This record gives sequence, C-alpha cells and structure tokens, in this order.
Amino acid sequence: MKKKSTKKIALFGMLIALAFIFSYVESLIPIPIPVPGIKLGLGNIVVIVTLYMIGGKEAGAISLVRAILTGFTFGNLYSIWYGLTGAVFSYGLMVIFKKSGKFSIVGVSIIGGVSHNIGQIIVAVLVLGNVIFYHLPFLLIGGVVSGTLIGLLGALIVSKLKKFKIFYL
Amino acid sequence: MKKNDIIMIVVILLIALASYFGYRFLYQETGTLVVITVDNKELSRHLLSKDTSIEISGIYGMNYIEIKDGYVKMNRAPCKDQICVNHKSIHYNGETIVCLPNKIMIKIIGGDTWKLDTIAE
Repeated sequence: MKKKSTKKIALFGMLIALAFIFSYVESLIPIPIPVPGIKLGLGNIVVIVTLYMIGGKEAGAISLVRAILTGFTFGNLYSIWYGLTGAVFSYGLMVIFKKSGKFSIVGVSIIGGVSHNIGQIIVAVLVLGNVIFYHLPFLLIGGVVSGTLIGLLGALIVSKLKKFKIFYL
Repeated sequence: MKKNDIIMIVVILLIALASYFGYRFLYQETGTLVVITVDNKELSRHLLSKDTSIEISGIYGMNYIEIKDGYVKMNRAPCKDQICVNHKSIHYNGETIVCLPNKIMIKIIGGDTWKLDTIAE
C-alpha cells in the first residue's frame, strides 16, 4: 500500500510540474492574433492524457492545481479568475463529453479548448460588461484549431505511453 | 476522429459564423464618442471626429491612445503581450480595445440612433 501511494504522489507531482512548464513555455510563444484569450492550451495535453490514461478525478485535480499555480505565478488577480473559470468549464465539459462515449479524444480536446475560452469570456463579460462578445467568433475558431492540435498530440502520447506500466496505478 | 467530432466542429463553426454576422448586422454602426475607462471607472470622453492624442496612466505604466481620421488606436502600452497595440484601429459603436493588465479600456459609443435621440432632445 505504501509503495503505491508514494508512486501516486510522485506521478502527480511530475504531471503537475509538466502542466506548469507547458503553460510557461506557451506564454513565451507570441500568437499574432490580437484577440485577448487566444492561446495554444499546451497545458491541456497533460490534463487530457491524464483523463484518458488515469481517470477523471485525477485529471480534475491536476487541472485545478495547474490553474491555481499558473494563476498565482504568472498572473494577476483577474487572470487567476479567468484561468480558473476557464479550467473548470473546460474540465467539466471534457468529462461530460468523454463519458458520453460519442466523441474521440480529439473531439473531447476541442470541446475542452472551446469551453475554456467561453469560460474566460463569461468572466470578461462580468468584469468589463458585454462588449467582449465581439471576440466570440475568433475565440470559438481558435478553440477548435488549438483543441484539434492538442487532441491529436494527446492521442499520440496516449498510444505511446500505453506501453509503460508506470501509468497504471 | 469520429463522425460526432466533425458534427461538433461544424456546429461550433456555425455558431461562430452566426455570432459574427449577427453582431455586425445588429450592432455595427460608426460611433460618435470615445470613452476611456481605467479600472472600470470612466476617465474621459472624446469626440471620435476630433483628432487627438491621449496618455493614460495605469498600474503598469502609460498607455498612448490616438484618435485620428475617425479611428481610435492604442499606439503604445506597457503590457507584455501587446494585444492592445496590435489590435486594429476601431471606429464602430461598441468596439473596444482593452489593455487587460493595465485595466484600461477604450470603448466607442453612440451611433446613428444615439445621434438621432440626442438631436430629438
């Protein structure tokens, strides 16, 4: 028993660190699209791989910790709310879509990306008033594009990692 | 990729298209006033028709706004991502340029209907 929980702690620590670094690396890559909130969502790779390889609760924990960690490290008071809301929305919908069994990992990733953006827009509307709806079409399309990318990468990683017993807790 | 994925993508893209054209059709008219807000509090108003340069001070530093030829643009900003500076110049009612880190928002208000209302008074 002790061996198993130590392994679990180590694994989670590693996954959270990975998600955190992905978010940092992503912040270094400038995206030439002048829409606030547009991003690659690289940290989602970790969340979605965890979702498919370990489980929903674990993926949720990692997503939450990652959002809080990146928010407090790189952001200000407002960006923490944006990040947290986006992460919660994104995670919630990903779990629902995955459970339905009707979508592939790419589809789940797409809804993850899109709902992340929608979550952020909702906070923006509450904070700044509903002037931000203008950006909605661009964020939706951006979410589809990045979601597809992340989903494909995630699927690739899952298929390769299945060979390693480390992920089977 | 399953079939449902494609359906979902198409639905999302249709929603994006609909919201884009819906917004344009319902809201887009050339504005009259430029309202500058700092930390959610209105700082100043300017006529879109009058060319002018405005400097705004925020927690991060100075933003430089320019109104020229009926368009508003954020020329310089102290934020890291520079989204506000890269933003296209705006002139339609309801359009905004926001510098989120510095909490500065430029919003255009008042369109043809607004003008008619005020003239009627």
